[in-house]
Amino acid sequence: MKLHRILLTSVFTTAVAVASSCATAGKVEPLAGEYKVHRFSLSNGLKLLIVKNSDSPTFAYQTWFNVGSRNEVPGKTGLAHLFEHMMFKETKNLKPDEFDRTLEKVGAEGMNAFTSRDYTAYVQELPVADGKNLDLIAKMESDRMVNLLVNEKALKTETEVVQNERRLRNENSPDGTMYQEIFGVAFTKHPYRWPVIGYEADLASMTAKDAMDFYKSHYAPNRAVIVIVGDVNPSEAFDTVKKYYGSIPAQPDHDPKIEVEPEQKEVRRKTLKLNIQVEKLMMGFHTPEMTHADAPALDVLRAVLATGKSSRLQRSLVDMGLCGSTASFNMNDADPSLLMIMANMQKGRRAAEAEAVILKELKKLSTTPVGDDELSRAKNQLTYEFYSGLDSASELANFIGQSEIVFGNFSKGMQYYDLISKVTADDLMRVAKNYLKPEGRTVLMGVSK
Amino acid sequence: MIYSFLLFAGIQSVQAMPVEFEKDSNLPLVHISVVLKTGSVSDPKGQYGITNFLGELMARGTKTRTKHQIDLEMDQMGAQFDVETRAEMMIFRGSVLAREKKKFLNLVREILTDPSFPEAESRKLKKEIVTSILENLGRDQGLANQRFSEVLFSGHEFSKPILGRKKDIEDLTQEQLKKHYSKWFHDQNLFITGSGDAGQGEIRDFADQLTAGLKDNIADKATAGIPAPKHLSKKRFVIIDKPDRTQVQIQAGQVGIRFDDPRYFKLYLANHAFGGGGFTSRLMQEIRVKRGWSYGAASHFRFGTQPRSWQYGLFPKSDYAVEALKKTFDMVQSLKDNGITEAEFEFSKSSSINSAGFSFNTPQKRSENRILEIAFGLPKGFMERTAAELKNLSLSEVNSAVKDFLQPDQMAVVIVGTAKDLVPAMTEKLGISEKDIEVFPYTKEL
Repeated sequence: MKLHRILLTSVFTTAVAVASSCATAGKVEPLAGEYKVHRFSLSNGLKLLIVKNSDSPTFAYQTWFNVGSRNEVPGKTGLAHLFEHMMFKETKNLKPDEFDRTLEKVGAEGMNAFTSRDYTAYVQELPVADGKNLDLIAKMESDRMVNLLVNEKALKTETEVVQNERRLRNENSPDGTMYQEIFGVAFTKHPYRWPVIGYEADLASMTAKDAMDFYKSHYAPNRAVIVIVGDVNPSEAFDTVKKYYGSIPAQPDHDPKIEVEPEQKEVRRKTLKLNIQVEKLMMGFHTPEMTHADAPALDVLRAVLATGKSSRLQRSLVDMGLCGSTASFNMNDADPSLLMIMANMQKGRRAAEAEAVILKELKKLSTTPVGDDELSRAKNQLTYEFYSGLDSASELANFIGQSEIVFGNFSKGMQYYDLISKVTADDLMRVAKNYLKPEGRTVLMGVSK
Repeated sequence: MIYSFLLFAGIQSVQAMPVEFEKDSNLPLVHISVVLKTGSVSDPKGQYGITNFLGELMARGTKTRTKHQIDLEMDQMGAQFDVETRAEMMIFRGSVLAREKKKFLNLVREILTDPSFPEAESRKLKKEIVTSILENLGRDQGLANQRFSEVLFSGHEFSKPILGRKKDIEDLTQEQLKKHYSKWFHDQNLFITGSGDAGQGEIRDFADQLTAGLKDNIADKATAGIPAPKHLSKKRFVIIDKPDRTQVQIQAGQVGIRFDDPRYFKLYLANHAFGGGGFTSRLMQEIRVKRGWSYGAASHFRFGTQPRSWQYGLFPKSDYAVEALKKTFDMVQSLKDNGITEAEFEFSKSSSINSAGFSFNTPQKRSENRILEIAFGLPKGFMERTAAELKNLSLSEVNSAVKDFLQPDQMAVVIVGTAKDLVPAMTEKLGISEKDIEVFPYTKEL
């Protein structure tokens, strides 16, 4: 115990040494309900956003990096996610597993990380403990931002863990297999074509050098956003963050050139034979990036289609006895991505039947305006989705972090919901016509082996 | 560290139904849960799945509204309303934008007090639920969990599948559903919890109208009560056979304890050190961190009015699944024989005490805790006592409880994987005879 404490106080000198002399402090911006965001930045490009909420003597601390699988190159797929795992290993200052052990001991909750196509986030909640834990987490997160070590042995063991995660989420999951495949079929050039978790062969060939190169290229304060939500004093929290991160230098961007996906002009299909008892359908339509002016209308369209039990697909597929369930998602990615429609067939019914019904519904949406009641229902549901996605410290931090990365500013994430309230029936018809074209669809069918 | 929070504004409605609602105006949302104090355990033989079916059907038609009207109104309000059936409770769980709470609560009340059990919807729902049962066969992790309960509690109420069995669902009649409703839906078998931007008066009105609307359900009034499950007489190995698996799902464990068992807090700490405490726990260290055998490996208790289970799970690659399973058997035996170490005890104690506040640091978590306390007859605030109770424990008390509790020879071991690969490896590496390994096709209902 004592040894740990000595190590922790003596080894962070590199990061602690010089606080930045140039930092921007203290802009307060509204969020939602009673919440406000205090925005700060350091001269090395690090952004810090803080929401003070003293309802509980705890706080969420999240670090978002502007790097995901879209920043990988062919042959090295899965590196962003594998690297996320390696961030919990050793640093110049922390022995293997000491990161987890130290935080678990002080009562950290929800210690986790996740990698998407566009970003990687490291998250945890901590008890305030008279401010000691904010100091601790800032010290440890700043340390692994700059001092990580990766050795071959640890990388090989962790690669096997990731292979097992891949087997769990993709290879042995019918839905996961289909989800992976639909991106592989719908995209031919853009990095969204490969799975975030990577291909088995690429993972098997990954080396410690690959991981360290990735680290040096993508983990830097100018690519990071720190979000703190909870019982903290914003200006004191800023001082703490400045103390630990202020001396970490910014790094030039080394992002590989990302190819633009060409327009899909004909239907692409794939049928997968799976260990399933009822057929499955997954359809994907190319949609623009989340910052595009048409994105809010596409979200409302998605709600009209499949959000809520009165939605069009729920009625035409489930209530009519064709499917057991249906759903639709916008991927909300930073680059043009997919609007997905899924259906699980009822026993004895074929996926092709659902496809025909969906196409008919999409045709209607592109030719006939949605009525006022239906439009307001969809908007109310999205308003509910928005607020219910802010209902805890970690969810609030999530919204802010993701919006900062994808929109460049969380307030644009808020504006997105204002734009949703302004979507008209004509907008829906227009985006249905422009983006949900039958000839541009990708269709995956899962059938019994 | 023990956190203190605003106390619940406990409201007692005029009838005997407990109501617990915590006002929270941070966001314009209201969350409400109406909880029935029984679940799949009360499904009669031949009607497995009826409780879940009934809850789903209630939201598909009332005396004044069709399913479509209910769906339209819920969606118009921006509301979520779902029925969640567990072994010993059914939760009607709803959330709504605060500006619509009055209409929403009225509709929820109507669903609970005036269901019409529409025949056409019942026919549709049967098909949907049978589809869900079939679809779940494709999800290995869920399948392993379900089969584990069926194997460990074979013949006991806890073994009943929540969604039911295909034939039972197909054969359900309107009369059976109506009888099940009037038997269980009465004021003494329900309670309400919730949080959000609503006043005490609004919640009281809702509770009063709900109890008034259920006053006729008194003829068959019943409350749940089930016997304690017995331990298995010997270790049981079951393979749920699925072709072409590159990975297996393992669930293993034994009959557990109740929350009010005097060993509860001692075993809480021991479980934290063994597999409940995250990356530093023994299971994660041995299975994932040192060997990379599985993405996850964890143990936990499940609770009820009677002892349920203590179980652990992992999902290794098929090639080394049996080796990983053997390792866990050795670890369980070692835990029984030697207990946890002093270092593990100190670490788990510190971690558990420091993190205890996270189990009640939001209004929604406190509301969920009250559901468990009321449903399982625990004193109010039981779930918030963890830190205080753990503080006074000693290592010898913990290890004595572990030795007494663990029964490695009476565990159920369920593996979803490919039998032709697993059986030879199990006989060779675990030294068990082939006749002691039960193999069932994954499509077979146990």
